[in-house]
Amino acid sequence: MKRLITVLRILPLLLVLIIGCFDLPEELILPEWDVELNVPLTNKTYTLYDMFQPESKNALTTTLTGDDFYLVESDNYTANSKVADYINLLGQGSTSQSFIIPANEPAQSVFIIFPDEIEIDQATFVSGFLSFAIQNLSASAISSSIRVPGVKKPDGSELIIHSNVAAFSRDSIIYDLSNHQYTLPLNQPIQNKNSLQLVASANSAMNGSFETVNFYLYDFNFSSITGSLPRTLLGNNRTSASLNLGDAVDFRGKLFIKEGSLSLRSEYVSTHQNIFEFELANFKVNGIRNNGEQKLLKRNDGQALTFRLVNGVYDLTLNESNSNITEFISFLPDSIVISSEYILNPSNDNVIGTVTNQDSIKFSTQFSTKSIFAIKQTNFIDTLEIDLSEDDRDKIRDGMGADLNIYLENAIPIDAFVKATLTDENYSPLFTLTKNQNGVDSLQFLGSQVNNNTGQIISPTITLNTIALDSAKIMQLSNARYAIISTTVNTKNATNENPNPPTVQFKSSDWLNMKCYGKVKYHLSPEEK
Amino acid sequence: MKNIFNRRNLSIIILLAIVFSSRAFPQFGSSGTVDARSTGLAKTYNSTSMGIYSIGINPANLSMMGESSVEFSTIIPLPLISFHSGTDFLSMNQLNYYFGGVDGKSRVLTESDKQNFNDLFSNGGSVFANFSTSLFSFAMKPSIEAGTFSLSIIDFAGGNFTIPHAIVDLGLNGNQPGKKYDFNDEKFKSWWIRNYGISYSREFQLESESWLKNISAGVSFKLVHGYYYAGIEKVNTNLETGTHNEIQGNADMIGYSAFSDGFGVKYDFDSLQHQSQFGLFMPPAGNGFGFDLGLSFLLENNLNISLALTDIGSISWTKNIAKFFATGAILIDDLTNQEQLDSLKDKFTGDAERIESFSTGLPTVFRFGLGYKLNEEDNFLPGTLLLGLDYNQGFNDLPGNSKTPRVSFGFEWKPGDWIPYFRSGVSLGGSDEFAWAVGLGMYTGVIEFNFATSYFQTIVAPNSAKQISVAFGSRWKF
Repeated sequence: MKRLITVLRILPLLLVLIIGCFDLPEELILPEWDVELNVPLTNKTYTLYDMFQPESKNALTTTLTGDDFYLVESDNYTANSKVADYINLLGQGSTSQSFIIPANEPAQSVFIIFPDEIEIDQATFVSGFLSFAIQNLSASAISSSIRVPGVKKPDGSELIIHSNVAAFSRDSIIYDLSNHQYTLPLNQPIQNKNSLQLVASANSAMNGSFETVNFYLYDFNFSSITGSLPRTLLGNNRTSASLNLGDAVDFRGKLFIKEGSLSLRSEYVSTHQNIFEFELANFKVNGIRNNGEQKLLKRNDGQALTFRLVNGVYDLTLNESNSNITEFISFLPDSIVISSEYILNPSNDNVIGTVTNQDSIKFSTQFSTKSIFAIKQTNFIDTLEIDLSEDDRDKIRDGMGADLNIYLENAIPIDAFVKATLTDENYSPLFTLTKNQNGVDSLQFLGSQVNNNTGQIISPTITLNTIALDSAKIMQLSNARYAIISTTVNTKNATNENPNPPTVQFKSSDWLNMKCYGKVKYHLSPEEK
Repeated sequence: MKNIFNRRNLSIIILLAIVFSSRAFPQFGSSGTVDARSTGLAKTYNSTSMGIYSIGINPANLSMMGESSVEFSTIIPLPLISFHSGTDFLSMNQLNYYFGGVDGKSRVLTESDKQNFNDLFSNGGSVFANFSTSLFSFAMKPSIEAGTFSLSIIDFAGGNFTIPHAIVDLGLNGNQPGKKYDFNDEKFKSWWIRNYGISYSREFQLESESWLKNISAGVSFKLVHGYYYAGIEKVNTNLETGTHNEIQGNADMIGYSAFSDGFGVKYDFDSLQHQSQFGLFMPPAGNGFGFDLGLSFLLENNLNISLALTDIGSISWTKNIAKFFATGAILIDDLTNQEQLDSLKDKFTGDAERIESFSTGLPTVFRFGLGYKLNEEDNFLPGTLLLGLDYNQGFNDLPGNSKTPRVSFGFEWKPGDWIPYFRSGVSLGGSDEFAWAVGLGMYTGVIEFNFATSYFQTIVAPNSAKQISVAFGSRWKF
């Protein structure tokens, strides 16, 4: 038993000694090492529909047509043009007539025929004058009155001209008809509808006396007129609309459109129902850039654009087959100016109508083009802020190296060249992301293969760009504050050297798939684990 | 022989065992921890463990109690503790090298370091810990004709976790395009169970002229209480990095857990709070039944042949149960896609749901052993020598068990009366791989003391060893 107790005492001691032989670490410290991670950064497929987002555009709207083509349309620009400030039926000329007013006789009606025998039912004068030259050849004074039953003064009373002419004397009266109203008198014989009716009477102390009156009408201008009017030139009118192109101006000189159309609706706007037939002659649509450059929309046959409104409306459509519309749209003007001569009652028929100086022609213009076009090399430069926290920047600094692969499978017939320059907060360049080590070549993304005759896509093109970043560049990347992105795009084979670049077809379903993936060599330290 | 089988003595023994929670000598699975004597023989126990040491190994040998008629184990005089833990990949030297730092700072691993560290896991990354004890073991042999009876309460807690090599490879080298990373080798199982066993063994002595001197047969019945279980039943998850670095694969994982109310475990899906009342006698989370069968043949020339099939049965877990699962395809081709990232997270963390029950097996083992005892007159060495050769084949990979067969050889040499038993042996296979065991045994008449380690490499070369094993205890014999 004593031996057993001795052994039992020795055994714990032995156990302690054994444990003492273990070289136990004082503290467990995780090691550090470099690790290469192959990560998929992004894999996105975009269709043209996604990229254009038709609902969000203002200046240029895009809609899908039934055949899945993109239809690029301008806004519906509208402009109003008054048909005339006033209606001048008599031009600068006048009409005159002489008649005698016997004294002490019943009043007599005299009918002064309007020029061109126009028949006026109702009119409002902007201006106009009645001129009376009265001569009394009698030995007694004569007092006379000349009523104009169709003319109401602004106060609503009938126009009556009074005169008193001494024996063997003359008198002259000029009456201004501004703001007077004319209404065909109810009792005026139908055959005298083309005339202004005067009712004249005179009194004298001596029977047999009379006056002679030379009557003139001149400078008749109306703000509104209803009646049977002859063909009348209302003058040349001009109106303009701004197109608000926005970023589209970048494509000036670079865009070649294969198909396009202009839809122009000309609409006679009036509060009256019985409008006259209207003609727009020598109609011109002129595109004007802010720098003064102009492009006239012309018919291919060289004829002037002249058309008549039917029931107050005319829709004009020009397309690439009958006009230079594709050239016109490619011109990308800042504004368009529409000018035309307005002709009232161009058929010169006897239809009764109404025209006022409040009447106008409303032009609604819309340009559209199907997505078949070419874009020559066009460059955009944008500056993006690199918004990273300091923690993120510290993590980037742990990077030892990285390869970034950009794989693009492109079924959109656009080539793109991208160059991204990273800068510090003072926009001083740090380095440029390029596909080669010398930092010169841009990243190149080729567009899909197209049939040069039809512009249709044959097959997508795959492009792989690899950007290698060493530890020095990663350090610079961690300090980058801005990225200046320079992007140059052109449609397939539409290089600057090609004067007639082939157009390509774009469909809303055209797509590109971009996969970004890379290898990151990262130093894992205990703080990261 | 003094009659000690009175009710008073038995009650005291049982009470002492329970009150002091003595750690005795369970035998569990094909590779689990065993009593200190068997540990010293490199777990060569099928034909060499007799009496209460045979409980859980071969109940047929229960009746081979020598001259004793009663055996029991308690905390007095020496609690029996059996503990074995370690890895199959990382030695102390390697732990120091990789995680000891350099001058108080992290070691920066070279490519060679990374490769070497990665290679450590190429043949397994298993971490395990087994701890077993017996609250009470008692065997009584009134007579040969009556057979031998025993009662036992045996606890086993243990677990194993295999770190999937793919995780290490990914962490060290990153994901390499075109390489498939399988996580199928991930394993995790852990539990704490208790067997309440009753055994009976009977030996049949044959004619003295026969080459077969003795046949023993035994059987054990066990009521099994499970206090917790957590395990992954299936992992079939894999990842592969594609040409464009897209990460794709498949998640397929199922796991279960169950906990006694005493742990106070609250699952995410559980709205009720549970109060923790941890103790030795908590209400079980699972119940089951099992039995052991054993045969032993004593041939002439002291050759013993033993066969046993142990732990046949299952446990049904019914308390505080959760099923963890992750299924579905994995695809990450866009790190900016939050939906993909969330999906990946879901695939790896999985979902949990409450289920009614699930069942696990017991660590069933087929055991076969040869034992040969050389008496002093036959021995080329002074004293007696016991030789043993074992084959243990587990039928599952539950904690303590292994489907990898384990073969062991052990010997017990007692040079003289006053010299302790010296035991040693080697074991190959199972979950321990190669192990060199050494132990000592001292008998004082009614009490025997045993000390052993099943991993003697830890003592002779502690810094290159990967495991540690300690077992000691005592047995009363009357």
